Amino acid sequence: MDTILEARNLIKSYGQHTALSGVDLTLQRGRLIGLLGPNGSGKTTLIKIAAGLLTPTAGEIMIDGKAPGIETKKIVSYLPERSYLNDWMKVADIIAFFKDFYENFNSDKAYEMLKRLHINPQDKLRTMSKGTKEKVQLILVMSREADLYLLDEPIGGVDPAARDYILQTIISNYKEDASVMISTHLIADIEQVLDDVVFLNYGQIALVSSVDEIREEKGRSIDSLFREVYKC
Amino acid sequence: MLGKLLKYEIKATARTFIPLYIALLIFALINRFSFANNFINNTLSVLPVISATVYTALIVAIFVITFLVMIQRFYRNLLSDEGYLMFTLPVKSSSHIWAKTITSLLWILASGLVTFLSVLILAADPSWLGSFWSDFQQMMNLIHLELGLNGYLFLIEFFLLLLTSVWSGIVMIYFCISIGHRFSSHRLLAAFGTFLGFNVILQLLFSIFGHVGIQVFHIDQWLQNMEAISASHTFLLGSLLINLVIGIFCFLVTNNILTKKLNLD
Repeated sequence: MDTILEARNLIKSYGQHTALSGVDLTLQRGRLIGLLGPNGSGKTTLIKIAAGLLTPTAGEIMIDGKAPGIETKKIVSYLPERSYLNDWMKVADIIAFFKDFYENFNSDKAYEMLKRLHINPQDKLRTMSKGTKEKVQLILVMSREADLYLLDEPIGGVDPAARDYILQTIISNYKEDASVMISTHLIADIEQVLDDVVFLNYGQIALVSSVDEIREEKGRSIDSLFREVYKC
Repeated sequence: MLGKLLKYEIKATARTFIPLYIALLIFALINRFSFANNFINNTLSVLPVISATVYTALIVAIFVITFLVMIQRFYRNLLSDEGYLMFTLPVKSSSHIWAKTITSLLWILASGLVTFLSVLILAADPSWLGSFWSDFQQMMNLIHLELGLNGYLFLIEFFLLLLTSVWSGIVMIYFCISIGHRFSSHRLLAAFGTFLGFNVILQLLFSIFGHVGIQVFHIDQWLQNMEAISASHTFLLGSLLINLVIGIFCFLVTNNILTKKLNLD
């Protein structure tokens, strides 16, 4: 199967407020997809529904042909926009935790990346800065050999130097038939690496296209297209 | 997967309880010596007062903390930020509920046991401890001779009743927190309201069933005609059954919310 994620008429509302109003989207395997949109456009909501943390109000979402559940959680590696690590564990403990619960987790890979970023596995999470914690989370998420990576603002909180390494980490760490969906509004930083882009606006899909298409047909960068689509 | 969840749940909570238990046992020991020793009583009478106060405060603290940790582990680990990790693990929601329930049950029993142990340390006579088991057997024999009932069976029934009532109490609290979490704001208030409402409904159901039972099925006469011993067995087992029904109901609703209606924000 080539489709890794498929959403049909996906709707999510919180009381009066509608976060997603009828999203139809199909993502293929083997692609690096940028999920772009201004604040409040529904990026996080879409990702959280795919990760199984939110229940859609209507419509459906399928990951590898299955509704979010145990089977999809085995193959989806999700990085939230917040810190989900408790603060009393050591980095080594949390790596053991991931190893325990995810069959596709590769500890060697995690330790190697920690070394590259000069993070001591014996450090407690409590003593770490927010940026370092974010790096640890990203390392954990990218050390899984998953089929779909859902990365919500993976580079928002870290310094530009680490940003490059992290992007490099993301690009070089997923297998050929896996897909990565990165949500961000820092488009210029990631546009070089993307295969496809999905533009969200007010909970709806504004544009789905490959990056090559935009460059060739419209002759412009994603960043400038974004600025035009979302002009205030 | 339940085993792995339990391992981490116990690890996460043991950091709180083990030091408290150790402290309680140490203070029980200190108190034993300060009470026994007139020398300290006469010269430094303020010390025994302090250590006795600390001991009492520790017992209160252990029970308050056991209760708070039970709530906090469910709310914080599953329904707050940490839930982003717990609910993306390939684990059934029911396993999460069981891991939390079993761990809470374990600590409630452990807290009771450690407190009992500390009282023994504080007050027990070593020679009395030696004959504890034979005294116990003698007591059971006396109960059997005088009242004609099997003390062991009653103890087992009583322990099972205790276990199921603590279990259903824990799941009821999880049920209230889960219902409260369905609200977009004032979740604590909603959880508390659920608790009150649920208990009012339970009381209502009890009185309706009781009324119907007496008026229609004449349960009171049936019980009166029964021997005292079988009536008390019936009462114990009936209460046990009611606890089970309440617990299962709360478990199923909580599981349904966490599986089909989860909305972490």
